[in-house]
Amino acid sequence: MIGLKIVLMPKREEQFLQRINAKQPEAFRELFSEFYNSLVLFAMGFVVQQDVAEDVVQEVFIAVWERDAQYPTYNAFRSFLYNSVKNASLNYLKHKNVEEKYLASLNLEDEGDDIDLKMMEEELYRLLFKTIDELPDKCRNIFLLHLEGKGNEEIALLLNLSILTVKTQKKRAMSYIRERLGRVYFVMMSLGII
Amino acid sequence: MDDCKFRMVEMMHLYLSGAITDEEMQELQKWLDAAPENRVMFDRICKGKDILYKYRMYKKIDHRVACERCEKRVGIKRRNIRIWLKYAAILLLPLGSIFVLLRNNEREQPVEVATVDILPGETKATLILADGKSVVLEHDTTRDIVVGEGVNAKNSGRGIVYSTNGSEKRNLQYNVLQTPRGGEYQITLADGSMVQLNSATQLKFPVVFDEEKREVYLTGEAFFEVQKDEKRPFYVIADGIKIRVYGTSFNVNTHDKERVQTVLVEGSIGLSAEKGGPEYRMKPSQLGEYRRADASVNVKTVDIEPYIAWKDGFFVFENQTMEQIMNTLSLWYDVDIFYANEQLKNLHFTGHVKRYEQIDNILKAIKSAVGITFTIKDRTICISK
Repeated sequence: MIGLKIVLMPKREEQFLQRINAKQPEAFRELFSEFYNSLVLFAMGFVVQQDVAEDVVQEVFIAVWERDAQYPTYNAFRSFLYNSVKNASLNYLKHKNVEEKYLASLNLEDEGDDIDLKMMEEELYRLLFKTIDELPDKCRNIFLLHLEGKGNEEIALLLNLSILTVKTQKKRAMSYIRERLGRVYFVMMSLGII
Repeated sequence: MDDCKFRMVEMMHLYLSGAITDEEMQELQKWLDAAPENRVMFDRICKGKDILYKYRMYKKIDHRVACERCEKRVGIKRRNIRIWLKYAAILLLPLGSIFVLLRNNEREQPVEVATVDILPGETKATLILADGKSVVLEHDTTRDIVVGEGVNAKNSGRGIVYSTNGSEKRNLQYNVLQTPRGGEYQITLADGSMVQLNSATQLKFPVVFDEEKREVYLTGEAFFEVQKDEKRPFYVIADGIKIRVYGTSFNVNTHDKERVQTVLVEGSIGLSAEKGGPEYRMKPSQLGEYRRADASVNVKTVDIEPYIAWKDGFFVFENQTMEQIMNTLSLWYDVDIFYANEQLKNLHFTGHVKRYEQIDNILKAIKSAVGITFTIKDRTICISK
């Protein structure tokens, strides 16, 4: 074995951003499938009702589409989405003349770190849920129970599987997630050719 | 939110999926120690108390309906015909050229590797009855098939199922289930044992087992989940080896020219050369290798994942040569491989890909790694430097 080379696939996310910047119609649909559900949950943290949260996010997405902006990085774009949804939610609350007390209890305008933590949490759930949805059925249930903090034995008992199967499926979920994160997708060792 | 915070989100994602490395863990630890609020949030998520509730909420939201509403407002028209055509092209292989056109439209970079009509394998097989008649099986046709005198089997989306209550006094009648290259199939035998056949595989089995033993014959690759029956031992005879099964699940692969590989997932099996000789008892997570050249059997403990991942829709390659990988791919995608340079066969790869995806994902990954060229003509992939 002469060289070890790590190959990174072109990141899915960067490709998505390019499509967004180029305003390709398909990208609009992707925006919904990637971010809509999570941003609605995020907005519900402010406006509570689901239908209101959905309206808020839809307005934001339409504004994103009609706005003539280029986003330099995927992170900048994500950040922009979360901030826009937060601002739009607060705006809605202001116009609805929600009691000052409630607004004060949200404590948002000045505590930047706090809101960032909320966004981080939502983004984490977004990634987890997307991964869960893409796992094969068998893996999915095991992975969900694992996230609930259950141990291998307990999962095996609950799903009537052997502990070995639980372990195998968990391992598969994990390597799948690694791959999804666009990290070492294909490690290759070449013999003499490179 | 800045890049660092997104990175921490990624680290937490890795942590929760148990796929975090030590270095990454240290990085995460630093961030957790930086502020008590960070740790409070992290601990709460780790407890996982509201994750199922949140997931249910998440699933209840319908982004498709929302998207359609918004598309109208921003003036995006759904090109229904195009979508329809795309699927039609996938279903009908000969329409490869239309498929190329559409795909090139969608991507900014043209696909250099033209793999338009090379699709992953699908559920299909041929069943050969005792009288020599053959029946084509596909996964969407639910019907009863007369497989022997007075014995029926039911074919459906889940494979073919032989009935468990046939009479057992007759002479054994054999059926043969065959998958072509690019096919796979599942069968439930008369004793309730299940066998998943990979591509280019043949299983010969009695329609109803007799009272003394259960014996089936295999060439190719299959995954077995055998029902326990103390009175009737189960045997698999596979290209030179005999496997005695004690109620269990395992994978047998005879595709390799040099060896037959058996991997045990659960339970216990005994492996011996078909011609006789000692029986090697295998434990779970062991690989039993039969070398054709000298009819020797060798048992060792391995990571069994790469051997059985196929049945759950993955290819897992652990430090395999290009030749081994291409042999596997050629069976599943029904293609022939030609090497312009023999040396290329010895490249080693480790990787993990989904089995039901098009072949170009994996070819592209290899291509970008070593600057190899894949040229595809009809169903032959030519590999050159």
